[in-house]
Amino acid sequence: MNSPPPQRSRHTLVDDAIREILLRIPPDDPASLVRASAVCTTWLETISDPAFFRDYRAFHGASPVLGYLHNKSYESHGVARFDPTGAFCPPVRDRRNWHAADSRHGRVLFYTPREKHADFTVWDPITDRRWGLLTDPKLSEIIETAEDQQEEITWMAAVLCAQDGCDHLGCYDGPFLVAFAGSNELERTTFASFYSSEAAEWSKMISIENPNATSAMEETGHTAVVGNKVYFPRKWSGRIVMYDVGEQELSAINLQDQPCGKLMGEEDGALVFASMGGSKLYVRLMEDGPNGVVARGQRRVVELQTSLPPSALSSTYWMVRKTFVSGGPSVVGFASGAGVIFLNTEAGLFTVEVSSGQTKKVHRKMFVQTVIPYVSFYSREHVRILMPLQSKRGRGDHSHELDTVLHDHAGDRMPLP
Amino acid sequence: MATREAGKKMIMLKSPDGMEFEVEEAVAMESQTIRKMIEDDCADTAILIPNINSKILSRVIEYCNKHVPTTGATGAAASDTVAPAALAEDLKIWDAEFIKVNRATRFNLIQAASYLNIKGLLDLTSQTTIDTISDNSLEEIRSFLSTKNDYLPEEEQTIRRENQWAFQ
Repeated sequence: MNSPPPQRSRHTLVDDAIREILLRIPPDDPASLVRASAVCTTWLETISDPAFFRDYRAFHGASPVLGYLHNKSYESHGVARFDPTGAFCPPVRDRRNWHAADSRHGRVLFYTPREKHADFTVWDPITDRRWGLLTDPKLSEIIETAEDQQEEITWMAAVLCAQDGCDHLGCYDGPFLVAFAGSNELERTTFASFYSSEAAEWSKMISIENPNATSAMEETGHTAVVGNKVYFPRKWSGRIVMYDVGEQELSAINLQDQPCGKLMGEEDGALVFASMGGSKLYVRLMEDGPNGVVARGQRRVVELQTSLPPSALSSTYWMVRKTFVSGGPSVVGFASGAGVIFLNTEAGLFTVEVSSGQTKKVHRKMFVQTVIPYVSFYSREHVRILMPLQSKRGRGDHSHELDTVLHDHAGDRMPLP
Repeated sequence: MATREAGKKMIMLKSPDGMEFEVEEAVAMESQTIRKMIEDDCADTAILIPNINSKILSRVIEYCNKHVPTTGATGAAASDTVAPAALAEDLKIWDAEFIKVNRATRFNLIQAASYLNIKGLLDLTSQTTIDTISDNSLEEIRSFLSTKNDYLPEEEQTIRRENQWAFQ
């Protein structure tokens, strides 16, 4: 007679049952996991175990959308704001004089020229860790020129995890890259450079000639990352700049003969484009392969007639500086990894789950062209906040490992004012 | 899935308190743990299921019997004439009845489902507790689950203070 392999010795059966339950707490309900770890120390130990993090992320697969950032302008200054979509809320929501530029792989990138030690700041909203990076003299000059003469130079920046073959479910502590691409209309060049947090320096700047007379970057657009390639949209729909940070290569892509909407981000190794037409949301995946950028599969059509209130789908027009501006629903953000589109309408800001068509209102009407969704598992929150308690008590098998994590957190926090 | 009308392969499951349960191989294979044993050829005639008493094991088998994806295997609800949606609805009602057990039994079922690796049963048995955590205060969670609070008062205060958003 046979019997299955013996039980793992460290856990009791009760612990196993609790673990199974805690694993099933939905990722978009972070409050439940925090409350669960406050029930008793055994539950805390279970949740704080790094192996639990791994299993939790594997169990739930896609990361949840925890919120989104947008830039607000006031008379005297600007503010980058984090608006939560669920119960999770970072310690600080508003960043005065910061400009949210991009978010990916659990990190948010801000342009922070007013900070003493950081032209750009990378932020992890969950642990509140911040990394500041200074630009090199050449890049500083470009950015300063862009600020003084807005027409001449336009630029965008993207943040991405620097680890090869990473699943990006828990790489928040690892090295990252910031990719920068800009266009100079006078000199007719497009240029790019990237910052590596490991090397703590910027790469040599490379440039190409602009293929068209008007090749400005779409500064309110969205970047996309596939492998080592970072894609930046130009102002003219269908024109894209591809920057390969691995090969240090820059190239211009023209998709104007394949009308596909706005570049929104990436999904499953493909570029995601989206647009609204009447009451329908169109989403198209494009693949950059040996034959250039080509469509992957059929475009997805999400009918919103029944799932959005009529006023959300109505179009109004008004005059702004002698041009008509459409007030109809517009695609303003895409949560890569979660498959969620953000739609700004007359009736408010909505999220649309592309696979199911499910919609949810997340904010009243906003005057924004762009929101930057924040997608991440939140489980590491517990390491930061609850571990001092555990290590003080000397409980658990993992206190040493987690002490180290905690030490890291305290050690490299950037001294921002 | 094809149904083998004649000569269905049977497996004997034994609980540590000495009870034996003869089940169809397909039903036993709802458990990924047992499936792996059978596929790896580690199982001959009887499999001892440690740590799961006969009362719980019989309920687990009852669940697997109901959920095994064959038509007419149990003769209960499945039939060719029933639409899949109706069948799913029927299963839902059956699940809701199945899970009307006391907390101790539910936890025993979770442990068994975890050990035998039966995903559907784990999801079903965990849901009540997840709802409890999601919809109740800390004190209520502890009381409903009879969990002793072993935090020092100042420790609990720290957690609440540092995570106010989660306790509102």
